[in-house]
Amino acid sequence: MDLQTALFLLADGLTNGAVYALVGVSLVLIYTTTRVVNIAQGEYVTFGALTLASFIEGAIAPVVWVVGIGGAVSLALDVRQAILNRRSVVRPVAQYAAIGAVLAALTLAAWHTRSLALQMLAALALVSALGPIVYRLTVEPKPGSSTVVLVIIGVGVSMIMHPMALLLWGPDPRSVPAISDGRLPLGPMDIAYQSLFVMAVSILATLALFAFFRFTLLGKALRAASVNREGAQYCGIPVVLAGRLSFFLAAALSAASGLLLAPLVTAHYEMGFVVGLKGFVGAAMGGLVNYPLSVAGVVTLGALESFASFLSSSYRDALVFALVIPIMLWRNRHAQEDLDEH
Amino acid sequence: MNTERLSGRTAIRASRGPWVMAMLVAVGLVLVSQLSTYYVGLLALMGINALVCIGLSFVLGTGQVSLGHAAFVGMGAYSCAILSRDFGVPTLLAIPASMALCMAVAYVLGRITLRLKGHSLPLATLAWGMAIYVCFVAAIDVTGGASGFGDVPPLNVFGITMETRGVTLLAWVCVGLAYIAFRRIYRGRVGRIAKAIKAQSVMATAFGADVPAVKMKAFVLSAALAALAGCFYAFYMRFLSPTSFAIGASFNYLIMVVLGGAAHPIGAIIGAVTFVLMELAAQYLFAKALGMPGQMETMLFGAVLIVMLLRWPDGLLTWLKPREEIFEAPDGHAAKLPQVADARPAVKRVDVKQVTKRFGGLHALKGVSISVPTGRITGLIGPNGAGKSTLFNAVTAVSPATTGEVRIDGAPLPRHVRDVIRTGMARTFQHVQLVPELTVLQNVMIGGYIDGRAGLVSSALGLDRTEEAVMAGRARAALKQVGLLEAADRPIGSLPLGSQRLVEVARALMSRPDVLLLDEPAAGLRAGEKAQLVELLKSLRDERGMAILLVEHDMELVMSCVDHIFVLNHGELLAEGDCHQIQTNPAVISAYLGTEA
Amino acid sequence: MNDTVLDVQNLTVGYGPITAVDNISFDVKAGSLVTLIGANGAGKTTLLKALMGALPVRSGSVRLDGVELGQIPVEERVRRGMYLVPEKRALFASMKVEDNLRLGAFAKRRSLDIERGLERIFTLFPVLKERREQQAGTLSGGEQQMVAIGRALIAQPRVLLLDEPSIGLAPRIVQQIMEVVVELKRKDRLTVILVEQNARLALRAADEACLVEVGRVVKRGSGSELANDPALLRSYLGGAASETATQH
Repeated sequence: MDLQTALFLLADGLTNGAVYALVGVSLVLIYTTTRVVNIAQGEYVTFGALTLASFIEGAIAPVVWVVGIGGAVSLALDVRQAILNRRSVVRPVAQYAAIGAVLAALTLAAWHTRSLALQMLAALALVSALGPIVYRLTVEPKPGSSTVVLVIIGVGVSMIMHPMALLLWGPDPRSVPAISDGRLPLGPMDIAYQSLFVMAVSILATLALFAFFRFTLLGKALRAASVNREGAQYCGIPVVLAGRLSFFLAAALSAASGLLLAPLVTAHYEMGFVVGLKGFVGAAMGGLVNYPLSVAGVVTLGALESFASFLSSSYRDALVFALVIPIMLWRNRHAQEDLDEH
Repeated sequence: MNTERLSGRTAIRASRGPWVMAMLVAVGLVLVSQLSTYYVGLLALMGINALVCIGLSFVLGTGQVSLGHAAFVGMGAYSCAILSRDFGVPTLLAIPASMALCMAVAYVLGRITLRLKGHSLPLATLAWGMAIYVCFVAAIDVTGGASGFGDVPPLNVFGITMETRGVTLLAWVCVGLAYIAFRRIYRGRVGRIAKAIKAQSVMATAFGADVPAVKMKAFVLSAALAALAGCFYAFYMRFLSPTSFAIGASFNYLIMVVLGGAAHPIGAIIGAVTFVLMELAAQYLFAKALGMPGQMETMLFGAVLIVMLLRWPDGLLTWLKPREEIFEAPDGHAAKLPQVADARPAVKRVDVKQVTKRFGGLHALKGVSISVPTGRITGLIGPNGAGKSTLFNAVTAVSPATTGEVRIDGAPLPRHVRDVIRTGMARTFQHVQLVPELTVLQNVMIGGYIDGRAGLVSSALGLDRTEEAVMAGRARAALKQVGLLEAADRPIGSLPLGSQRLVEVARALMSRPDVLLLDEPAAGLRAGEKAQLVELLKSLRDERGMAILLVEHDMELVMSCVDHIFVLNHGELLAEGDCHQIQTNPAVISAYLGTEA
Repeated sequence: MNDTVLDVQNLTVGYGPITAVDNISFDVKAGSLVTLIGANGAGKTTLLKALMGALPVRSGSVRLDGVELGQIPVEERVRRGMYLVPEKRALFASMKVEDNLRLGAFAKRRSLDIERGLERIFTLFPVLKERREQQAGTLSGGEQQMVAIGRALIAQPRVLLLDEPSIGLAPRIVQQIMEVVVELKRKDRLTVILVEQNARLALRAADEACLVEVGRVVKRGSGSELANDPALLRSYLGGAASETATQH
């Protein structure tokens, strides 16, 4: 392998890494705020990409039905909870109605428009709405579930969302236009502008999240809700809302990853699953709690994947998955003694 | 005394068991011989799944989640197929060889990953499950890769070639044998401790269990069963494709186990059968009736998994509750089995010398010395936060002292919690640590874990009957001592808290300890129950000459039975003496009521 | 003029067959400190949690400034100015001391000047200023208690509920903490409900005291009245103790 090849592989690896980074970062987000290890995170990538594809083709994205039905069920559950606690029913109904109105408006606008930006926004909004719905239906009923149970629930969610994508959009890949088609020459090789865009968004998102959780009170409050639920309640932090908000943000990030990734690999129903798993491997390097390390992890993974592919393309994924184990062992040993009670 | 609290539970009486089995065997034979090949094939799949699930269920019962078991099935299938086709190895050798290979791989993977905690283990299993699957696809020369591995020779036993019907029969024979074996295992020594490990591994360790070893054994055994299932799969299908062993298959096994219920091996079989039927129905519904593309039934199963975990974590076994009987020992056996207590010298005293304990910035204990001699009830009291629990944990090796030592008749306290019980010290827990899935008697029998010798194999083969009978006899004797003999067969959840605490004492008594350590036994007890406890402690002291350490808040209880008291405050020994001395000690009074300025 | 801040009437709280709080009534006037003392397991912690809305109430009413709280969730009560420092402190152990304190102001984040609030807390508990960047879980017991109380005080609560603040703490530190609380009571008219095992200290600081046994109020009076009552000693140390001890 000469230097040129190595550089090429490295660039390829970095691009891949950037894609996984957004997913990795959303995994860290969810874990640090709700203690859920979300195996199904990759599915939001798929949904994001395919929803955008639908809008571009001039159709109403079928995900609207999922959001509608899921939202209705969540509303029913919330209303029931309000009645049981003898609290006002008006509030949840009004909140859901408002959100529903916004989503409906965005969907209609995206359906009729030619603006890529508006379509991306609508796709992002719709898929992000899935996040809190999943949280409401699978985590909220038993917030004290052990992490193992939550992992298995994540498996269940994955089993629902994966074929759902197939059901809604069919098996054929769909094309999504890139934000820009050009390529940037960089010495002996060139990189697609879209790839750079993906990297830029990933870096920005990571920095934004890092800053949000480190420096803002709201970010700290979200973290606190999972660090010590009781203590957070006594500070007036609405812990239930915190969970839903976290899932919303994580879904948004993964959906964004899908929107940006689609032009590079074409949107199809399988795309998210493997991306999700690889994002997970990278995030695991940061112990699922550390943003910068997670990004470093995914990027390293991307590079490793690139080189492994060069060495033996068919065994590439095996090597990548097998990597998870030593990483987890290493993190397990370095894991800080758990200071928090939950 | 109605032990059935929830409506809808039916108890399958053990005495009807053999008849039920015979009937099922007859029905099975009829089905296999009369039904068309298609349906027999379904039965084969059910049997193969059941084999995997029986093992996986046991693993899940120890609190370990495996998301990669399809990889073991695949390894068994491919090695069996390769040995049979490419090396001409006869079936009777190929199957055990494949199982051995799988067990070896499982052992290695287990050594590496089973010590991972919490969510890390399932994810590690997911990882190697996927890695192994990719290898199946990639190793084209060996496995045929994605295009498959064909021409697998038929199963051949003693010259008789078995086609679909034969393989199905053989598979279900194995299921039957596995079921019988596991029923015995669940009912026996290892089964009890395995259930304890899931939720209360500290308690299991306190009674002598080597938790990592037990987990490993369960894991390797399940890999063996999965490999066997894989072999049958290879002989049934005669063609292997890697997609049968992909991540989706692992998820499916998990669903079968959760669906059926992990509390009893019948759950695994029920889950496997129900799953295949549901899959069939769902495929028909989605593909034929609704015209949807394949894979849709996966969504259904995902929903089933989530709903079951949130609402009915016990699976279908929530409504079916098989009851096990425990063997009675014929008279005279009770004395014959040796106990650990017989081999060790009787303990005369436990001494705690200058024990200090720090947690980061917190200085929880500062040079505390107490002693617990035989034939005395020693009380350890102090206001909230004084360090009583910390000292207790130091004495029981759960959280060893930073400096200072604990000595048992001059010998140092063992470093590992699981060795403590062998020295003659047994304990109870502040928050009752009883296994909810077991009856009162079975919970007490956990106390005799170190005296037992029956492992997985001897239990499975039914060789542990005598030992079990003797243990049961001893457990009944312990229950009699605490006055709860008539509650022996009741589920533990049906007892009030006071009685549960007495069960914990009975469990501790099973190991014939010389030193009994009680951690706040009075919390939550009513007046009558406290009186009962006091009587029991006094009789243990007087008739057995036991050394008893009682850590307590409840002053009425303490003052009514202890001989000597140590008072802790702010991690230091404040005072010691008898009841009267302590009650009139001004330092103690101000420690409890507080100082003024 | 009625300056009752908190009015508890016939409050009963239970789990399943157990009744932890049995028909308790008391009221707390602005700027006063009411203490509930009693042995371990008397139901005092349950009472405080029920006041905060963290546990469901079986019957009875709780009024804050004359308004019935009913089933209002915890977050809303905090917003109205009720702050609890729980028995186990419930700190965010892996987060910095400063962040713990800032989060205490979450409910009032829009109206409050958090920087000034922080300074106030650092003035009350100077050692926290030294340790502001440290993880809360690595602090000593007394310092952790200061963080917990500081977190509750930063938002200038209407009612402060303290659940056994003296647990595991050296008397000197408890002294320090109680002095701060009493000072705030005096200066800012802070209203306090103090639950304690350490009876003497609590009674000295209290304007009004209730002795709680098995979920019921068995004695009521001013701090000094209860301090000299033999029923107190009996409640803590068991029968014989009270007779002999009164001689001291």
